[in-house]
Amino acid sequence: MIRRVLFTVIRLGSLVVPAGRRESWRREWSAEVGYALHTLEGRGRRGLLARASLIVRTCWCLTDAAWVRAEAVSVREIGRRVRSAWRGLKRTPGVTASVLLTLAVGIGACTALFSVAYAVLLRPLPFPEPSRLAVIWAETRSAVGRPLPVDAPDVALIREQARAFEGISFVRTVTDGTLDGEGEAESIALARVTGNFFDVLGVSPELGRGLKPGDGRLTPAQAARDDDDLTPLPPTAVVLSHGLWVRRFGGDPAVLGRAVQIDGNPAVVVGVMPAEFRVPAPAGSGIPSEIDAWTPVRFDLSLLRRTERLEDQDSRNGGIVLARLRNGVSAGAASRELAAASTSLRRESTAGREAGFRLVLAPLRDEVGRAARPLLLALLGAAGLVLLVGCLNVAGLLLARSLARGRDRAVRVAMGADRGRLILDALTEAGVLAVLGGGVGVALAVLGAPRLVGLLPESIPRLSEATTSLPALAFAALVAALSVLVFGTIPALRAARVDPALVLSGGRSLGTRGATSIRMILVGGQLALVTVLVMGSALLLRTVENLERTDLGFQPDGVMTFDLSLVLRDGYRGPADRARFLSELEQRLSGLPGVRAVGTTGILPLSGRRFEQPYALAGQGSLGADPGRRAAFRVVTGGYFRAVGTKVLAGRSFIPADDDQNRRVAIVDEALARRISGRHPTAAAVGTPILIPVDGEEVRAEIVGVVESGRQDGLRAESEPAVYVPYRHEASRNVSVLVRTAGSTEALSGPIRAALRDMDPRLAIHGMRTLESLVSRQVAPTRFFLGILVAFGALALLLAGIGVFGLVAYEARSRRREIGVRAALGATRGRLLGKVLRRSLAVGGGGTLVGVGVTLGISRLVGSVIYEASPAEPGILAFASAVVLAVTALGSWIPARSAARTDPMEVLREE
Amino acid sequence: MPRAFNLTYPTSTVLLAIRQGHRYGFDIMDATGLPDGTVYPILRRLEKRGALEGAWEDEEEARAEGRPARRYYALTREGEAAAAEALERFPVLGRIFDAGRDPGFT
Repeated sequence: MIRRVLFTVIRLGSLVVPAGRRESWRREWSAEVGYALHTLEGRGRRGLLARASLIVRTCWCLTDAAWVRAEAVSVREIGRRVRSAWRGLKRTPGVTASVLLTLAVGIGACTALFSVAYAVLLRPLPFPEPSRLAVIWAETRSAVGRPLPVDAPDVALIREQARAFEGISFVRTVTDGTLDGEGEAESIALARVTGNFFDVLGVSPELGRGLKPGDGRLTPAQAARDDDDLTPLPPTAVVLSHGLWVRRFGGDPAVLGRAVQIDGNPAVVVGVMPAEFRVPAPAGSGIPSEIDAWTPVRFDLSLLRRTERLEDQDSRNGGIVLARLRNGVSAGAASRELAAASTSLRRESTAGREAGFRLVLAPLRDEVGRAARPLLLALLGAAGLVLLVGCLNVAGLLLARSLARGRDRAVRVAMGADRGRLILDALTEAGVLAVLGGGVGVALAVLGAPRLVGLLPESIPRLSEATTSLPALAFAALVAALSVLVFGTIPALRAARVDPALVLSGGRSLGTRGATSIRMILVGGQLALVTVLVMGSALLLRTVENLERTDLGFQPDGVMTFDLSLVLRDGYRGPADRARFLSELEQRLSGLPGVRAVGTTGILPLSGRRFEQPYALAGQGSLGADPGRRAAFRVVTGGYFRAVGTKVLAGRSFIPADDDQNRRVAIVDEALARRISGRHPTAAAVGTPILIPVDGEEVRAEIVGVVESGRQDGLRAESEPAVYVPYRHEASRNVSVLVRTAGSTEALSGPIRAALRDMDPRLAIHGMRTLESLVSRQVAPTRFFLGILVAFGALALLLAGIGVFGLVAYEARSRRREIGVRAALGATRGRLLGKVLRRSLAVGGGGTLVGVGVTLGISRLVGSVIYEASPAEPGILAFASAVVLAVTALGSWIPARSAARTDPMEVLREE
Repeated sequence: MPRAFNLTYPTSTVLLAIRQGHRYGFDIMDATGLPDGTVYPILRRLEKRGALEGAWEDEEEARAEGRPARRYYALTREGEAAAAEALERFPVLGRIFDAGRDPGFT
């Protein structure tokens, strides 16, 4: 068996070698392979690997043959061949045009998607020596694979211990700020970073300077002061983005040294970043890539570590660590240092350090593209499938065309033409088609890529870098070459199998039966691939349905929300002041026409922000004793639950009397209530005490209500236990206000702004948007993918349908005589129709089965895109099979019907 | 006289393997450890440029060993010169090939 395979490969190769050297070439390879095989005999199973490698080695004879052939061909000869191939192609303009169109669309789609995927996932970041840039995340046992921000005090220790880094910079996660000075207060995206942030990235400003370590640094006494102490601080430095500089300061170079106010504190503009600078924001970091201004973190990180200042919701200490490795230091060495630092941190652990805490290092480029990776790869895979369907289709067309020209070739062989030449001519033709199709495809990709970028969800990073680049062109060339291999080889090999005697004596053109079965396989393959695409579309449709049907635990429709930052030098001092302000604001907003409810929260659902703290049940140890007991903490006002549309399942919401600091109260969600009440109904949690940290101290609060659990972190994220405390008890400065209306949400935005301006014109509203938009932003990438996949699926279905049509039409034509005779002998039309159809439906069925199998196999790869749907669902299986079989039936019906109408007299007369 | 081919690392390896006494295709592949697909094109090029001479083995001899006759490659004078130059350029190859060089074979 193996001998036959090996010698067939050599014989195939020899066909490519020029006739003059063919015999010698074949003899040399046969001697080598024959002897190698001889030494392997008798080795039984032990020789299995050796046999496999002999097969591989023998296959390389094909490149040797190609090399020998290429050497014998001059450039002029190649030019002549190409021209002759082009003439041949022009003779069948219909086939050529459809082949070119198919290839162009397939290669174009693949190239366009590749250029996007390359920009997002592979292209080095636009900074000097980007491979040395990395992110440091924290990880805990309960959140393996879900990177967490690192606390600022921990960064100080990493800086002390790790030697592998040239620089470690820190970006705090809070990024809303208010810019004041000349003109109206403006909401800006503000990043608070360590002074070495720009140095670590290796970027310089276009104007002035970047930040310096020590910029705006506070004295220990200033840094340790109370949060509500709002006496003036010394001015800090601020670096503006190009956009903010142009928008607010008219691009005036004299902006350097200008005094502004940031969140009510004085600051001096020291620099302006270049227009093209974007922050390489790691996925899930909550940092937008468009930042308006950068100010330094004002406290010394090591001071923070010594004082162990406890986190609270305003001075949240978590942040993103961007680091640059020292030249020549490997990521492995750096990771080992981080592991050692993790051990130190665990040892001197602060209360509430979660079990399994460790620091992990990840290349910055990969982290920036991480969230977009599954979507982009799946898209690229889908485009690849369409191209593959196209190639199989083209192979079928070329095969049919080559059969039709069998007589031509028979004449050439009879006149002494070399069979190797026939193969080469066929391959040249395929190559010409691939080059032309690829060229048009690249043109389509260049034109289409910007449009594609416009369609892609905005959450995908680095889209502005997506252009048709050199790697994308190389990719297009590779894809075109692979396509030739797929669609060119079979027709080329068939071209050589021509028996002039048989053909010229008027027999059936040439190995028709063999060719038909190859075409059946090609069509079956197309249908299998189409099945994969159709099942993929069905899975995504189900995913979108599931996501939209998810019980959110709140009602997003008809709610307008906006963020406020209650940070002003001479106002909102102390929780009581802030609570009073919000209470008045809520009252005013409630009075707006159509408004049903108004509430305020520290963290808006689906905003991507979360705040987690330990809790404990009374009588079961103190806070942090059980690392498993952590819950999301949210401060809310009494109206919040009505405004967001979360049902109070037991007990009550907060009331004004709850503001009393001497009687602490809390509301828990159903998930936490279930943990507390155990086997009893969740309502039993009402009235029980719970230990929670408030303002850094452990307090005992009475649970007064149980509310629905909600998808706070994302539609796909399981709800986690949550504790709600009254706003007055921990009066966060950064809040989101929700306004539920019976009327139009858009109409609310003007009156809301007016009401706020009326109360305090110095406060800027950040991010006014509907709650609904936060939900749809979550579904958008999946919805987009669904759209693309449906389009691809439809295209592939069309191609496969054409493939089926061609197959059946060809078969019907070549069996015309048989059908005519049967009709003459009394076969009914129905019977004849059934006979022709049966075969194509068998091909369709086989293709569908293979496609289903493949989908089941690969669905795991795109598991993160799919949500609560399985390819094994009967509904999805039935849908996909029905669609594919319907297209098969449709494609076969037309040619089969005309075949069944064959007039026997006509056929017999032709004889 | 200028050489008619580039003395790359793979080419040098093939030249030295032949000088060491590896005379036929698969043997040269095994001796050099180069990827299978590269060895034959190098042989073809070297033969065409006159550094190698290929000749068919004597039928009788091959039959006596119970196998088909092989095509053997040997260095021409030009090939010998190229091999010496290869050793200078890639001294590390000398340690691989010269150490095991058959003293009776030059």
